[in-house]
Amino acid sequence: MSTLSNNPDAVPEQALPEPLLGQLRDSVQQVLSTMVDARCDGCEGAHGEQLRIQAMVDFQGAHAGTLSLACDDDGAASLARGLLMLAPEDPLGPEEIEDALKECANMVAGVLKTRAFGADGDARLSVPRLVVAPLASNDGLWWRVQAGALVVGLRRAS
Amino acid sequence: MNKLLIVDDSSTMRKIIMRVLRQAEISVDNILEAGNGVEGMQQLLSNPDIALVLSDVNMPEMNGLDFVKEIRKSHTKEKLPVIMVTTESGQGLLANALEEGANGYVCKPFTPETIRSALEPYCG
Repeated sequence: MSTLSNNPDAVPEQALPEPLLGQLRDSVQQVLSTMVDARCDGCEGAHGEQLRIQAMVDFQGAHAGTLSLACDDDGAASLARGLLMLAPEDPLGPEEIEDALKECANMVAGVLKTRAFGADGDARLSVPRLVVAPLASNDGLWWRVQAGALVVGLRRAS
Repeated sequence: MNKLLIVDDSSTMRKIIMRVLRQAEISVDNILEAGNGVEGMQQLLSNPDIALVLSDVNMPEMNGLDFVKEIRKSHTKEKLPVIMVTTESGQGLLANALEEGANGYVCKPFTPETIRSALEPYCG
């Protein structure tokens, strides 16, 4: 997961209670299975330093924190192609990849908000943003998207 | 349907909606796009024959709720159907959107069937 949250008081996700981790896992799975036309499987973490494209959405309010979705180059391209239903030979630019990652993070955050905090929980979502930097930690929930990797993490503000 | 306007700050989501409209076999002659409520209002002014609007909620510059408010202020657009497409599924927020004049909503992630059901009443 990302450790690049702007909030210095953010708590590493190892501290997340199991119900919240389960809700995060289910949220990612719901978005991937509904919107991404690509093979996505859970996998163990590895090579976090290759995951250098990260989309982030902040939760503000009583349930403050940051959700991050990080990919390696192959994972990011596979996710974008899956969302946009593009064939391997269709052109895909870096801006399309970045926007697709942000939108995917946005959807996961929206689903997680409802699952974890209730439909009217006090958590407002920020507009998603992108950070291009190597993933600093291998922690997080890992998926394999086609040939690439996807890691989703959550940090809570203390 | 002649013209449909999709308002979303994500170009990915605009493309996904266009693809889903095709999958749902919803016939639209022309699909217009806007990246936020301000651009959406400009499109509505330039294209008075837009028959339906699909709008995100969480957008920069002018969000979806303010966009609906602006539409309903207009004498010529007071009955224009507006469907919100949003990741925010809070009942309070959705009730707000309906109070401001939205005709319905679709929560992301969605399937083609969900979009078809939401748009069917306006695709006569």
